[in-house]
Amino acid sequence: MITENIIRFKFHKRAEYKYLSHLDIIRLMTRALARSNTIVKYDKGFNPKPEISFSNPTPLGVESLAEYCDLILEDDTSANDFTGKINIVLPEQMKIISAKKVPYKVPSLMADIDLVLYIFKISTAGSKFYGNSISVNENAVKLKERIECENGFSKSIFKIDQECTNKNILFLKIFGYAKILKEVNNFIFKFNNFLSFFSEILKEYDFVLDEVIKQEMYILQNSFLENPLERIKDY
Amino acid sequence: MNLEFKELEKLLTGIEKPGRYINHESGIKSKNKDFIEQHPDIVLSVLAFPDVYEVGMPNSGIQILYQIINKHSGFSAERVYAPWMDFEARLRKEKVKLFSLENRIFLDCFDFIGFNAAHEMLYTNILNMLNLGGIAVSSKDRKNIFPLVCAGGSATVNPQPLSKFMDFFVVGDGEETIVSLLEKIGYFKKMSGNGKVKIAGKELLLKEIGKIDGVYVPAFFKVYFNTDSSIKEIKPDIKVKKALIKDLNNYEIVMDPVVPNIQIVHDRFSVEIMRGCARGCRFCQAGFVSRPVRQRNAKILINQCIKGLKNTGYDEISFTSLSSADYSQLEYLITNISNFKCSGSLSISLPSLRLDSFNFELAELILKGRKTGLTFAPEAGSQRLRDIIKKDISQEDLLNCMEIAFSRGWDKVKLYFMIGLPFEEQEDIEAIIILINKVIDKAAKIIPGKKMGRLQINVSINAFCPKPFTPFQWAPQDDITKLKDKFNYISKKIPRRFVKLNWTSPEKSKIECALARGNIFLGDVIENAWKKGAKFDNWTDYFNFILWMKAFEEEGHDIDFYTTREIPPDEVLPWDMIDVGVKKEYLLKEYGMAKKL
Repeated sequence: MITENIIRFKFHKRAEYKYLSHLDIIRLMTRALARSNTIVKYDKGFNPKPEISFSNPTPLGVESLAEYCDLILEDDTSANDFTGKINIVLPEQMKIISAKKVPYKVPSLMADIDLVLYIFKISTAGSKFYGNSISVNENAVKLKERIECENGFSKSIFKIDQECTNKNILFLKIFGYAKILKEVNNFIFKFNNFLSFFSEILKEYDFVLDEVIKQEMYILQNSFLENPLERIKDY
Repeated sequence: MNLEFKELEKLLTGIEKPGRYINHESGIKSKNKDFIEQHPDIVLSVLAFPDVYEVGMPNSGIQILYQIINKHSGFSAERVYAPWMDFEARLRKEKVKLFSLENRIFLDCFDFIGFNAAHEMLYTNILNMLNLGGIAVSSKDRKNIFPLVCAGGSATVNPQPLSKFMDFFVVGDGEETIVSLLEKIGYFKKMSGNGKVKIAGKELLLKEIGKIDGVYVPAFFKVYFNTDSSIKEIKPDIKVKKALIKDLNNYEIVMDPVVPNIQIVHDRFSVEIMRGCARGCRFCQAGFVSRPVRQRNAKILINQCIKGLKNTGYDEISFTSLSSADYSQLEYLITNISNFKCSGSLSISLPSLRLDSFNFELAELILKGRKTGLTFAPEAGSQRLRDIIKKDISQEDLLNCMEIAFSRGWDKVKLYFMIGLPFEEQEDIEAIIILINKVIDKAAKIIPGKKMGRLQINVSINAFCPKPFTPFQWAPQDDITKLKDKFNYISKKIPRRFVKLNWTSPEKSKIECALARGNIFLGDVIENAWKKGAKFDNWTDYFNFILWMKAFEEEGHDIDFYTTREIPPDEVLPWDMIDVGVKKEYLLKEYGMAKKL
């Protein structure tokens, strides 16, 4: 049991704000905390820094429904009150979805998170198989195989699923590895490659990338997937 | 009339720092789209800063006017900054007009566009923004009444070089002028059925606007020239008095400014504590044109600052003025503000604090143990030249300060000098080197030998550029070769071990000087240079001197006429129809006194 008031919360970054970088988001959150009069604990270093840490960065231009943040509060504000207080000062593009008190020591978000789920919304509008669901499906299978053959795939992608809800829109669900280890590893999810990599491949298959959403982040626990909030078990 | 977000998104793929173009910062005050659609009589204005978002955003002039306009139910103000080159190329390729940040309204759909011409090197960007917004750059080519295009800001005390492009100028403090201005535009807009019914021309409206304090309408003045391009006379022989706010305390500081989403330069809560400067340094334009000195009351200010910090969430506050040490309640202000409790610790910055041994304690209080950022501006190396430019700083002052700084653990200092000052001799150049050596000697005596390696003296050298409304407005600028010789001499003689030397290019200073002292002919040169591709001239990497010189040549104007020539005291100056409150006789007397030293 720890005495500090650690809060873990999940927030989204949507619409216009998908064009803000990870550092911008950190700065905005820090200012929102100050505006809401929330006092974050500072460490005891030579240059004291606030005890606040964020989950893995999201590529520029990608909407995110799952950004996480851990912080230590000076007072004993509850997770619910905290959420209410911060959401008043946050813009609609960036709101806290849920928060939980962390009652025991857990690894940092960055160290803990294993997988990131991206949803690629792909449209066939304007392509030669527009309206032809069989061809779309065939091509989608080819696309999946092609991505799986990509050099560095096994180091980048844990799992890839596809889903065709109607004949013109295809969803590609990609579980990517969150940790960017070395230059050679994780080629696909190396930050700057992200959108250009997929756009290029999709073009080859006559698909258009409509949008990419970062849906969730997961921790692998004995072959179960848990998001960072689910990981915090209530007593 | 406006661009949808979906459309913007298509334009943003692959664009560097897309956050520059997306708006939705905190502190937005513009009326929303629905309100504007339901109120066709509303005066739509856009405040434009002709540089990229990160540079233009900290400008307090735009923030002040933005608040004042948007407080008014009949007006709305939006903002626009110069798009960076990648986004400009995209806009041109996709044939999309430049739009405002807030409601993404295309520039040509506004009633009023106000440019902040903060300095001369922004002029080409103004033309570029008009052009991108689908607006003819020359005032005479704009047949519709709206948008009216105006410029204000420091550089416009000499409006002549931009007068070809502007319908009018606002000279001086904008707080009151902007309201009278928009009221007149609003009335006219209503009467003329949104400018569609031509009950009266643009001229009538400009006549009305011309009656407001501080407004100069170039169309109503005629400049007659002698054969040598000097001015014979300006008709009518009347002067436009700059607009002046007598008591700053009548205007609250901006307590809820727009706070940027992306990193900008000077990302902090900025508070103007004083306007004007009584020092009278003879080269300093800001000092003369912003007179008289007006202070804000510290007691009132403290409350406003605290509100501002709470509203914005900033953890840094900056007190701005031309010479903060002359603000009489500085210590009171700083002590009270440092008590403010924000989540970490509040940093305070005083960008224009003249350090002397008296306020050193204050500096330490502000810096809270951080040993960064000690800046001194002796401007000239010798006492004689400092007397000539009226820079009231002695060698003893400087060295005493250095002694305190070094003994308290500082090992990095910044020194500013100018070369090419009027009446400068070779000895004055030598004196810069001697002074720097003395600073190093001082350091060697105080800093223990082991730590001496860390000593770093950043020396910044600028070329002198004579500016309108200063005693040196008549003085010649050194030619480029001379400036280079002087700089090379310093560069060769300076002890390189501890000194980091940098300087601004003399070519850029030359263009700046021509634009600052230019007459209406310079409008043609600016347009020519812009058509050749000149933009972002203040960005060292993009400034193109050859291109500018070609523009001068093609338009048939000799740049040296505006730069290296000493202007005779009886010659009519291009800015003679503007009255900033300082008499020409006084400036001439000051110039004479400098000459005698």
